[in-house]
Amino acid sequence: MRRLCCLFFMALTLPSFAQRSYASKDAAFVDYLIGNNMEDEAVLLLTRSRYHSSDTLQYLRGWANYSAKRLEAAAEAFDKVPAGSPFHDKSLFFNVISNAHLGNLSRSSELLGSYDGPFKELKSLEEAGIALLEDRRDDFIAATGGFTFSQYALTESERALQGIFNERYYGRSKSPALAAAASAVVPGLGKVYAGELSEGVAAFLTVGSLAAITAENWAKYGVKDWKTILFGTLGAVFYIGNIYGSYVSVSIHNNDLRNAQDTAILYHIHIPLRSVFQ
Amino acid sequence: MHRTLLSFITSIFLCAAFSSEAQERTDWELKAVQYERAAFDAEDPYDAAEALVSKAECYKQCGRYADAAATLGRVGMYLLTPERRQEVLYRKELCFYLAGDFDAAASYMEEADGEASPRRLLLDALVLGECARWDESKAKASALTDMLYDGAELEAADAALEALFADVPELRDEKKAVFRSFLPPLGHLYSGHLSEGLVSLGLDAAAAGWTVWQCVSGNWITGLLGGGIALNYTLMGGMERSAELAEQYNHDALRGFNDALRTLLLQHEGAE
Repeated sequence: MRRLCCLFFMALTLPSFAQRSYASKDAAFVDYLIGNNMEDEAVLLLTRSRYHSSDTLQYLRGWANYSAKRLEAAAEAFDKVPAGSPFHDKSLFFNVISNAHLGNLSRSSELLGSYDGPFKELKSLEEAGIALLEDRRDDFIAATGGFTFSQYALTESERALQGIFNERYYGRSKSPALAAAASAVVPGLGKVYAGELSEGVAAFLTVGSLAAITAENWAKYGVKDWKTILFGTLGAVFYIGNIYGSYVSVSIHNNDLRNAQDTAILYHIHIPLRSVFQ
Repeated sequence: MHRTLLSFITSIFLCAAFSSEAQERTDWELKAVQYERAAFDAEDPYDAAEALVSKAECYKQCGRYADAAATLGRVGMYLLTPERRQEVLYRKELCFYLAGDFDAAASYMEEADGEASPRRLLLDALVLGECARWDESKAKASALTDMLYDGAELEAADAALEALFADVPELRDEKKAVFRSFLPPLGHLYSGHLSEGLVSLGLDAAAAGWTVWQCVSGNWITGLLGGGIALNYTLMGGMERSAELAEQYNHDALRGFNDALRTLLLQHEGAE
């Protein structure tokens, strides 16, 4: 019976061991796939083929998933690359970026906090970017203490982050209340202030036309005439709607500006990694 | 007893192993990666080209026709023999046709210059039909029936083709639809939607009537501004809608005709 059990166990486990190979053997092919926009195929190869578990495998899985924009899977794989691995530094920094794109900024900060390797200025750049994304003004200033503006791969991004910081905290943002007040005085002016010139002109013409029609009917038939009431009501609705619309437009404009800044931050903390770890 | 148990357990294991293998064998996507690997490792460019052709076939099998076409686009055609080149051109045409890129399919059809076969004639007829090149499509379909049948069968097949092509759709020109909309409901009528056109005409008439009525009553501002704005919306809206309806008409007409053509041609044995 013991011999039988042994045989059964061997039959069950041997085939899978026999077919396993090392991921490092396929590293060049995976690089080729990723470099030729076949990231999905690289992911498929690395998830479906049988490989011995290794740091190379986890790194390649992370890199393939990152290239295929599957950031959750990428972060999960990068997490498994151990500290002593030659792929650790690259995995850690790309893990930071993956988590930042996913909105897990606290995880990005945690990863950077645990890093004590040779890429100190790169670490400062990433910390500054994450602090800016999290609106931690003092931490950003502290992180910029590590900027030397002398490393070719980092200088442009360091300057860009500094510029975004200045724009965000010292630049003039548009006021929704001012836009609403402008539209109350001249219909459409608030939209023009928000940067929507054509909408502003359209609003001015609509409210102006309705006001002119109301005025004509009021003058000829009095305030109780149905046309005066109809066009007057329509004019009032458009007028108030335009004031509210101007307020919302500026809020949207400010929101868009912030989103654009966040996108620029993510871009500038990502681009140097490509050069540093090429 | 032990021997029976052993053979029972062994057979369970073998079944599991082979079913797993079979599952992998049918996994076309993984096979596609393996063919890419073969192309990557190939020392002879001809082998690489053949591996890519096989990879495209894997994509076709799993329904990724656009990827299959893109993969065939990477095949170095100059490496292939004339016969093989014609085969790859046929596959490109087929993949683009299945991916819905009919213009690209037609371009590969024109590039092919090999001997006509039933499957090529079938595909050409379908591609040309999708491109609304009716006369050429009919010629290819006739050549197909000539190749497959003779005698009474050929007469019946030709009669069916004649009947189908006697009623080819007349496609609408969107610009003409817009232009005719200046006189509602002509634009809608051109696109086959008379009732909607009459509604549009009613709205235009109401806006114009309001303008005239107010101007005659001496309310120039109310008439010109109010009526003008309303007429602008109704007339311009009608024009946009006419263009939309013309596009929809063309889509439906093409789909209806080409579905009927495909059904008819696929009935012929040997063409597939």
